[in-house]
Amino acid sequence: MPVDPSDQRDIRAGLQGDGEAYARLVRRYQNAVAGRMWRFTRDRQTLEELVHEVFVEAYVSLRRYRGEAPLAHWLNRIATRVGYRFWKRQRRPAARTVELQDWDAVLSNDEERTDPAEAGRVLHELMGRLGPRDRLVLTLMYMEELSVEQVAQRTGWSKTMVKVQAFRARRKLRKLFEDIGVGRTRNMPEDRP
Amino acid sequence: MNELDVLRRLASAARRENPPLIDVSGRVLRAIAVRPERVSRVFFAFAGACSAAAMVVFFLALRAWAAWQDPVNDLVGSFSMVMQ
Repeated sequence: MPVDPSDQRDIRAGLQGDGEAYARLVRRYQNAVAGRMWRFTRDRQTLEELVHEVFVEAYVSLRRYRGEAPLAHWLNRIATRVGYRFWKRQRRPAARTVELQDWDAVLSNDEERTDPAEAGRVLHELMGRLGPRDRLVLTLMYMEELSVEQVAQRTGWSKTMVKVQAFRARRKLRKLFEDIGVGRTRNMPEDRP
Repeated sequence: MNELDVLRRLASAARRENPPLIDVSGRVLRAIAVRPERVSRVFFAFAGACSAAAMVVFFLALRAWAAWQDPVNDLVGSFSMVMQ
């Protein structure tokens, strides 16, 4: 896929020290990056810090961007790295629980009528109980709908490692669901006669 | 409904969510404007401290090596000085 000509221009100018050109790149991509980082945090202030970190890291390694893939793909890889680091720094909440009523509220609705913000919040809480690797592989495979190969490219892991990690993560997720009783909801639409 | 169905369903709904709109361009500009100076100052201070430490270690190692190679050298040197 070719690199956008306006991106190319701003990258070249940014490398020569034109801060305004780099700021244009930031403004062009910051909300797309924020969309990715929203999966790593639900706190607005932390979101801004993570997006900021992504663009500072991108600036530092801008010379290494070869222009073989669109800038958005390259930024996504950096965003994944930054988000994963953030999760590793965080301590997992030991005693935080997701209320069963929340699950019922989210899952008993029709899929189209499910509140996206509520689903995002519940998903975030659920994933927060897994380790960073499990969380990352499930987020990339199910939230971003990436293939094994794409996950490998995004994370720098081998394809075998992605498959193994995904298998382990799903097993832990199943155990987690059993513990909190998800999936035992009786009023699911498809369960109705 | 197994765990993957629940996950897929939540993920599919969550993908429709609009994250908060942000603007970090000013912050990024400020960070990259101060970054090279700060990095180079820290780098040169670190490199200077490392060089000084390496010099000290090198001379200590040289003396230790010489003493290990010929332990009576110092003694013979002092003796020949006395004899002169």
